[in-house]
Amino acid sequence: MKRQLLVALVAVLTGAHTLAAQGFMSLTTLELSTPIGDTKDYTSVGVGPGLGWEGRWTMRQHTSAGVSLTIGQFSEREDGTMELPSGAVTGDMLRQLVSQQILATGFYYPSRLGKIRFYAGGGLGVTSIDQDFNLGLQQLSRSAWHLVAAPEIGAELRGGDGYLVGIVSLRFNASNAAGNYLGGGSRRFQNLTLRLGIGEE
Amino acid sequence: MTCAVRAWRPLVPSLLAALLLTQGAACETLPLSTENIGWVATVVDSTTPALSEARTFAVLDTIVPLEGAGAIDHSADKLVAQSVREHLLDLGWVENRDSTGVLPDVVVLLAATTSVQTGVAYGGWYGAYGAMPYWGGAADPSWAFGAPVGAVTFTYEVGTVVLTMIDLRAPRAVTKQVPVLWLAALNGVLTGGAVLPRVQDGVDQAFEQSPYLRIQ
Repeated sequence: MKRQLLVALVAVLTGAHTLAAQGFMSLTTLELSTPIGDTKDYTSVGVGPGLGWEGRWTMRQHTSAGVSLTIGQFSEREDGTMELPSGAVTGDMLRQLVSQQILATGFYYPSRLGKIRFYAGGGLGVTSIDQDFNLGLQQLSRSAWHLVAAPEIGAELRGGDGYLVGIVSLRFNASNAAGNYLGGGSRRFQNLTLRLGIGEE
Repeated sequence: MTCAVRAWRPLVPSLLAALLLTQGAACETLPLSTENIGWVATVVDSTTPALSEARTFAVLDTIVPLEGAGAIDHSADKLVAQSVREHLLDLGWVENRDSTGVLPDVVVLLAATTSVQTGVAYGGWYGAYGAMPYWGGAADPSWAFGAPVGAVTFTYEVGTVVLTMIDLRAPRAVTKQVPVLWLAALNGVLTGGAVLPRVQDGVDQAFEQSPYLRIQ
C-alpha cells in the first residue's frame, strides 16, 4: 500500500510539475484530526496527526482544481474491554486507525488574489482505512476502501513576493459505510481536520 | 539561483513529506513486557437459545495440556476449577457431577496451550482428553470443536488457559462438531503451571465480561 501511494505521489508530483507553467500551487500540509461518529466509537483519542500533499491549479480567476493526498492516524492505548462479534476481549490494548486518502479537489474563491484569500469547496475520492487492534502479543486487522466526500473551508495566506503560500482550513472527511470491521459490519468513519499547509506557487 | 533549481524548489517539501508519509505512518506496536502479556478473550454462541436454556453444569478438575505434548504443574488445577465452579454457582447454575446418570446440560473443560493455536476454538482436543468427558463414546479424533458464526479468530499463545463450555444436549454425529457454547481464553497466566492469583483474576474477568451466563 505504501509503495502504491509513493508511486501515485511521484506520478502526481511529476505531472504537477509538468503542468506547473502558471498558477500551480504545491502545498505540504500538517493534518490534525479529531474523530467523529464511528471513528470516535473505535478510538476516543482527542487528536490524530497526519501529513499531506496538495496541488492546486488555478482554473479561472475564482476557481481552482487539484489533487490532495493525505495519511492520517488515530492511535489509542487503553487497558480495558472491547466488545467483538460473539464475545469480548480485555487487556492492555492498542487501537489504531490509519487512513490513506486521495481526493480530486475543487475550490471557489469569492475574492481576487490578495494577502488573504478565503475559499470554500472540497474533494471527492477514496480512502483506505486500516483498522488495527493489538492485544498483548497478537494483532487483529481489518481494512477496506471507502468513498469519501470532504467539504472544506479555509484561507490562503500569501507572503513575500506572493510565491510563498500558507493555508489554514477545516475539512470534514465523511466516508460511506463499507468494510467488515472489528465488532462486526461496516463502518462510516468520519473526522474533522484542521489543515495547516505551506508551499509555493 | 538558477531557473531549474527555482522550478523544482516547490516540490522539495512535498517530496520530504512523501518520504515521511510513506515511511512514518507505520502502525505502532505495543512494547513486549511482562506487564502487557495478559489478556482475556471470551467467545459465546448467541445464535441459538442453547446457552440461555442450559441450567446444570460440571467442571473438570484438571487443566489438560493441549496437543498432549506438554507437561504442566497441576498444583493449582483444583483452585482454578473451584473458581470457575463458584462463578457459575453465583450466576444461578446448578452443579451436576453425575457422569453416568442424568448428564449435566454443559461441561466446562479446562485446558492449557503448549503450542501456538489459531482459531475460534482449538484443535487437538481429542488427543489431549482421550475422549470427550461426560459426552459418551460418539466423539472421536475426526470431530472438531464448532465455532460460533462470525466469531473473531484468536491466536492462542503458549501459556494460555482455555475454559470451554460444551453443550452435552446437542445433536450428535451429524456434523461431527462438538458444540462450543462459550469459551474463555486467559492469556499469559501459565508458565510451568497456572500462575496464581493471575489465573484467578483472569477467570474473574472472563465471567465479568460474560453477563449473558447469568441464569434468568
